[in-house]
Amino acid sequence: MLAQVFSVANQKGGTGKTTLSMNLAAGLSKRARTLIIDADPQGSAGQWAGLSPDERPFPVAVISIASNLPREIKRMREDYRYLVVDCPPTLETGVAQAAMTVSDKVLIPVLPSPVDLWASVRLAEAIEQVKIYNEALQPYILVNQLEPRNAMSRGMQQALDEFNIPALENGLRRRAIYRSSALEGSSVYCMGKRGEPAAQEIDALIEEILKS
Amino acid sequence: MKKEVGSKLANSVRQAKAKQPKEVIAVTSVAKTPSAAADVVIEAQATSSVFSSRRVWPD
Repeated sequence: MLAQVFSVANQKGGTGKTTLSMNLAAGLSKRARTLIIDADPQGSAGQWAGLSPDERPFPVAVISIASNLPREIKRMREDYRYLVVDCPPTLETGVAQAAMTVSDKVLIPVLPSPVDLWASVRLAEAIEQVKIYNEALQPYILVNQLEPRNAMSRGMQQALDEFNIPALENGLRRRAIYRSSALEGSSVYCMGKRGEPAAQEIDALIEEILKS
Repeated sequence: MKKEVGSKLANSVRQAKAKQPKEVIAVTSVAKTPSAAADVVIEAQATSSVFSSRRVWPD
């Protein structure tokens, strides 16, 4: 069976693409063979995995690819069950669009802030263009760093209705444990009790995207 | 309060969409001509200790 390909994209930086990619892949790897493709020249995914201690390596391999991304992804689909592509925070190089042309789903992490919402408008346009080449592409907005008591977080749903892209029911809360896991080259699954709430929300997210 | 913030956010998104420029990089040019600069950066990283470490390749 060919791998399902999940691209994580947003042309705005700081929305949590790499954090989502790493933890999503860690969760998927508990189900089946998974690979992270670092398509971001900043190489954050590789740096994250490289921080893991020898006795506890990051559970998913990271490979860095920039050129011929669609061809390489197609080739790797035969060897894995899930591929997670961490896209660069730009649409200018076309790398994110290239990844999306061979993806099954694209997850768009958006912070509960006006600036992030405005930036996502352009990505939504780009996805419409990609769908000319990949009709089956399923885009989803994921609200990241939610703060349930914050008025902006609670008002997000109304704003997301303005997009032609569905929002996932399971968002991710703002949690320090995500940053801590990066510092340890790990995922929230390996952070003990402190990581459990985050691991549970990643699991719920995975359940939702695998069913959608 | 929630409704007011939600309405303001939604309105701001509508305005952003209205002001959205129409030119977006063509997808066809993307896959065939990836950024040379990106290639250089990725190549440089591939030879770094991070990428040569077996920790990145646990299996």
